[in-house]
Amino acid sequence: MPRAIGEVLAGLAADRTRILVVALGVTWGTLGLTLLLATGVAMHAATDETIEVGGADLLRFWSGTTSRPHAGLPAGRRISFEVDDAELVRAAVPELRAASLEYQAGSVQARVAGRAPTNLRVHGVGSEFSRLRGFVPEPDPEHGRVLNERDVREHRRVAFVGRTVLRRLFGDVPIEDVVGSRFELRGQAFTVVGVRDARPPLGNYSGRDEDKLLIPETTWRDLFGARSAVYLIAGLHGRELAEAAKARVRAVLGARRGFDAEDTDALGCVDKTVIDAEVRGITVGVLALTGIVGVLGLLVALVGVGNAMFVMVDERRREFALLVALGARPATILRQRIVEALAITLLGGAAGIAVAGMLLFGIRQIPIGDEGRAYLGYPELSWSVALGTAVALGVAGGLAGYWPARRAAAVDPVEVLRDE
Amino acid sequence: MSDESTTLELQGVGVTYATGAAAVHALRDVELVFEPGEYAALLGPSGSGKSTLLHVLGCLQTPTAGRYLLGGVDVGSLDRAQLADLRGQRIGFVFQRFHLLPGRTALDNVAVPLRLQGVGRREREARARQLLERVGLGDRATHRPGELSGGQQQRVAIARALANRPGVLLADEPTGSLDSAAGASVMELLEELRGEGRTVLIVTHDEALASRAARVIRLQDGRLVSSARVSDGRPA
Ligand SMILES: Nc1ncnc2c1ncn2[C@@H]1O[C@H](COP(=O)(O)OP(=O)(O)OP(=O)(O)O)[C@@H](O)[C@H]1O
Ligand SMILES: [Mg+2]
Repeated sequence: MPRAIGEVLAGLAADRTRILVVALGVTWGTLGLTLLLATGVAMHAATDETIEVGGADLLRFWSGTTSRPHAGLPAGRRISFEVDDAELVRAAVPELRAASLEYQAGSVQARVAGRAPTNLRVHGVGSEFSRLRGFVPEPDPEHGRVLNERDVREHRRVAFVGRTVLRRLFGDVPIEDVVGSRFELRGQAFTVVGVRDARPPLGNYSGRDEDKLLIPETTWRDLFGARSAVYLIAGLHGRELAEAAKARVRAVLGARRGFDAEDTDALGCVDKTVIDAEVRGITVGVLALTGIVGVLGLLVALVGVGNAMFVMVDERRREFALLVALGARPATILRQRIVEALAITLLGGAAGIAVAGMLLFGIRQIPIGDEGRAYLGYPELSWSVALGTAVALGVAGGLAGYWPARRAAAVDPVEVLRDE
Repeated sequence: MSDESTTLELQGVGVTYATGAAAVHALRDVELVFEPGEYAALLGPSGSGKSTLLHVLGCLQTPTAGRYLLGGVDVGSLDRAQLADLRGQRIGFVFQRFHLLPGRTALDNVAVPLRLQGVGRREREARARQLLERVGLGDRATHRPGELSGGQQQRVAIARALANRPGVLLADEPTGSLDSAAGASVMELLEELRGEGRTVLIVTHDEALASRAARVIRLQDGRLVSSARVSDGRPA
């Protein structure tokens, strides 16, 4: 019984298994790449947004104690902010787009009629504070408004509150119902004009933003007297201006308060651009790492495709030799093998992307809290991720198929079909 | 039946294999002309160069010396794609071991050369069916090679060789893998295919079979020993 071809080609069925295994390898590689990319991209985007939530390109100054003598004044003098410092620096420092003082009073008794009183931290702020620090109400459904210039000018008894404050004051009521409600602060009647959205910011200070109750700085001074502001918040026109702005603010306030422009103890500063850059750097690093790991995984899968193609080509040498002998052009054999490799790759890849899509859906349902979401975001199968993966698959599949295909096209029918 | 009458002309053809230090001269200075419609047997001891000569004639390999003109075209001047086209369109091969695709039906196997020439599916199937009828296997179209006897497989291979109506049919020991009864019927079939303007060249060890050919070519150590035309017609 002649079985020349039969022996070598007995593997069409075996090939089907091999093709399946290889495609599954690609599925696995694609799944890994897609998941990693989606997670990395979501994390990057979420962190970027979180940086913006707390206000980007910010300088937060605090007043301290002089560490060196200046203009005949001794070291060790206590420096404090004055009422018009925000206007002063904004007018004198061109690098700044806005500035606001932030007054603070802790453990202030507040109460709503018919409910038990509670102690809150009350912040007195200028009209530009909300915009600088990203204190905004939920736009949809609308949760009121931020404090404005008129509130400050007219010493209005209005408040913009965080969610925790809201719950402690009013209990579990719909936020829409709270806007416009009244409460008492130190015995004075106040009206809630807005509720801060739920997004957590990057870089909390003096407690979380959701624990804060903001009132106009003028009203704050009416309530608590001539205490100094705790912080001077300044927004930059651009993050690259941070150093210049810091120096100029110290020079301007130093000239007025009598401290050395280089004295960083007299006027301290937290530079949020530095923190933001560090966090951005981390997420870029994570994104790069996920990308590299994902691509490596895919490469391993594709080395598998290439390998399996070589094996298949070798096993089918007789078939290709026969086809060439019967009039198939070598270029046609080459093209068919590349198409074959591409088909296996894309088939496996499509399955991988589909599975990734389902897994990502599941991942988005995992309750990790607002704080977690702020940095991990919502990993999803975006078009860019899917397209990037598909392109990577196509290119790599073509490459993995090319050399085996050349080997297939180079078969010499005389050698292979020789009848011993 | 064949589309083109083709003259084959070998001019001082040599094939040399450079294996290690010693060169093997598989063919030396072969001068041969086949007129359209010739029916010839190719004889010679093992290793005398019969298969090599057949491969040259079938454009599967190009001579290392001399020229081979197929229908006036110098085969040595063609590239791989052109040689493939030439094989597909003008030459039919029959191998000793059939070389059918094991996973495909007889019909599909016969249709392979048609597919390679871009013949449409309908026409392909119709022609393949016709050819299977012609070799007496009309009722075996859906059988796979494993389900056919050796003689039947070789008939399928012959049908495949005829698919594109080639002017030249080359068979390398087509009965070498068959018992004598099956071999005889295959030879009968091949004999029937002569006289349609098609050149038929069969390599064989069997002097009795060769004696039925109109022309007998003898090779020895790669040299042509004789290429006499026995008679013009079929021997009695
Ligand atoms: N690829 C090759 N490399 C080296 N030598 C080869 C090669 N192919 C064939 N030969 C040699 O060329 C000579 C002719 O071989 P060929 O196969 O044409 O002989 P043959 O007459 O068909 O023999 P057989 O009757 O055994 O089939 C032999 O000596 C053989 O060893
Ligand atoms: Mg031989």
